Amino acid sequence: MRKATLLLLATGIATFITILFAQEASAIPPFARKYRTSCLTCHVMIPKLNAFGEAFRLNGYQIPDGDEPHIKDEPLVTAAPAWKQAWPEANWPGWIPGSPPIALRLQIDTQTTKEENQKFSTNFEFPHEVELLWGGTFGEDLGFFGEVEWKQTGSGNDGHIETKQGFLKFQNPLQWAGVPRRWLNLWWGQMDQTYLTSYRNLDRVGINHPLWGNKKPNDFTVRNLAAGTTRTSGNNFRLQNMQPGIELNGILGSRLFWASGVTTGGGEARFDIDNHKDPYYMLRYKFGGRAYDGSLPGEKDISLAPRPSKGWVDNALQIEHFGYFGKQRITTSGASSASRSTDKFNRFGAALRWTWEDLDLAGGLVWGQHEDPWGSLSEGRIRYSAPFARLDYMIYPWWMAQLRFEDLHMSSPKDLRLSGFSAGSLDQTRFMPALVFLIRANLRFVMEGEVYARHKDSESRNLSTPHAFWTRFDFAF
Amino acid sequence: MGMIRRKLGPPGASWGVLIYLAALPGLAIGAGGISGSVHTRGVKNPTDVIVYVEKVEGQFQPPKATVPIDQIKRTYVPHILAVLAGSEVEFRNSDNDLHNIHARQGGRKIFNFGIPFQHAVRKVLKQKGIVTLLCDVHPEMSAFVVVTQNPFFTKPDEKGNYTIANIPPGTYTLKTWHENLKPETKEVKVSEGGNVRADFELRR
Repeated sequence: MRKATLLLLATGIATFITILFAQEASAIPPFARKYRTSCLTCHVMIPKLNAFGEAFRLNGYQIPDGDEPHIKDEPLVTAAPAWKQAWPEANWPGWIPGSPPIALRLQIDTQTTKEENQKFSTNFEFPHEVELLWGGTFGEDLGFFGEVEWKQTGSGNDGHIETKQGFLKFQNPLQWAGVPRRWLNLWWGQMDQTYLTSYRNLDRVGINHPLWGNKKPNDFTVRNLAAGTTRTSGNNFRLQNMQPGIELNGILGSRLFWASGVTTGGGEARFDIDNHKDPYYMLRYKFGGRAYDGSLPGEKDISLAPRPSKGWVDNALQIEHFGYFGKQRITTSGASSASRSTDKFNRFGAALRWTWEDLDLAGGLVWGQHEDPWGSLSEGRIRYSAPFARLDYMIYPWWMAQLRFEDLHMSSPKDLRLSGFSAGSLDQTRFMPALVFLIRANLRFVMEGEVYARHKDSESRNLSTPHAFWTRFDFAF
Repeated sequence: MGMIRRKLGPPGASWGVLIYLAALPGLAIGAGGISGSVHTRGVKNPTDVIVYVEKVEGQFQPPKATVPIDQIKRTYVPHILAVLAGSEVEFRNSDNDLHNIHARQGGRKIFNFGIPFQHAVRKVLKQKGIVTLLCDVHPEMSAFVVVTQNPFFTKPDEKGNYTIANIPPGTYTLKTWHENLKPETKEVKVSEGGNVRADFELRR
């Protein structure tokens, strides 16, 4: 019943938006509508950003080197820029978007996989996910973005609604004090911290989430096979989560991106009142190609002019590194609540990305450890390493081939204190070949295989390896 | 600072007349000129630039004709203009709506008065610098007046080309002003009867 209500609600919203923009040739997401430009100005294939799209994102959802001339959907001016002269006696100038800056995104999936009984079964997730997105600017140097998502949760549940993102980007807040433009920005809210752009979760064209961000300690189960009971770590942190946080970032000399911030550090929880917030940092450098500020070597203009058909080409080499330092109060499942402990953990990552003509090749490693993820269960640590590689090749502007490789090591504790329990393992190695078709600029179809060379958890329980085949229609309007 | 309020009549001096009148005091045999182009990046109003000579020796009489700036459909027209210090500006309200003229210079308010619809008010702008014009009733409205020490200023044409004529020979500092772009400065040497070129590329 609840599912039916939600679907009805989603259909209602979609119909409302379609009617709202019926005068447009087509209903399109907020940024495309604002600039009257194609999705492919910023995307290789939705949602993967090209170099221009990345510069647009880093510039607070503004066209680098001057946003205003490109805006076609005239905003409603709340105060002319000249009111800056009257501040603090008057409000700071700004605007609100001319049209409601909202869009819908739907993902329609099929999954074919081996069940425990070795038989193949297919599931239709129609839809897998419905997202309500919004984004734009409230005048110069103040961007906003948000996402509310309804998602299938599987196993006969009705799915759930959650706010995935919602943040503000204050660009150049200290320009008045003489700090050069782009050197310092302040981003505030629940956002994708984007630790690695080479193998980013949010703009992946494949279906499966990268293991480096997806796996968390409480995916790790220790089992008492005789008694049929299990225990898991209380730490549910994973890098993939978009956490509430505050980030300072900037671009130095157009090619060095830096960021430093804190997240609430509550793992999957959004509410975490404690005196510890998790700090992190990121560094990124790009040799050649379009720089992070949007500039191109030898070109004066950063234009939004119609692009050649190969808008994805950006001959460049990028290196990046991040560090994350967490601390979480945990209660291990099955243990007494009085036995709460604190797990200190970290993650580091380094990656290299080489883009050349139709090729986009990336590889790297994420590593780290948890000092006390098991509390009273064990003194053991979890050591974590996740090498990865990704190869994208554009066959045509509408057809991409992708191959991903991932290898995850999450080591088992060696000193379980509960008799009868044996440690599990999350070690796995997988390949994910995919073909991606852009049926329209805003509609993508993906076929992806998930082939495991190693899957310790299944092997240890004599279960079939969960190879899978996926398809997805993904579209936004 | 004098103020005359009157019912709106026919339009006053146009830009061409204004520049002509303003340039008259500098007219001299053997005077030279400056010309060039101004290219702007990343702004919606690329030719809303004033190019002006910062300082020229001597005293210059302001033109007798008033310089008009109108409020039409909740927009100041023109959005930017330049006048010689001491010039009288006529602020008009051509709308059927109440407006006011809130003027600021050097970070402070220099005057703020209302104009009933279809009326005009005259004010003399004495102090050189940038005068920002706002309307408290309609915060989306704004305009700028660049008040200069001398009459050697201009606004580029639609292609960004400009010419300032009849400048006495000498070495001068040529400046640009745009509401959203960094000002640029160039040293120019004007010779007798000659024309010197100075091109600008303005960025945020």
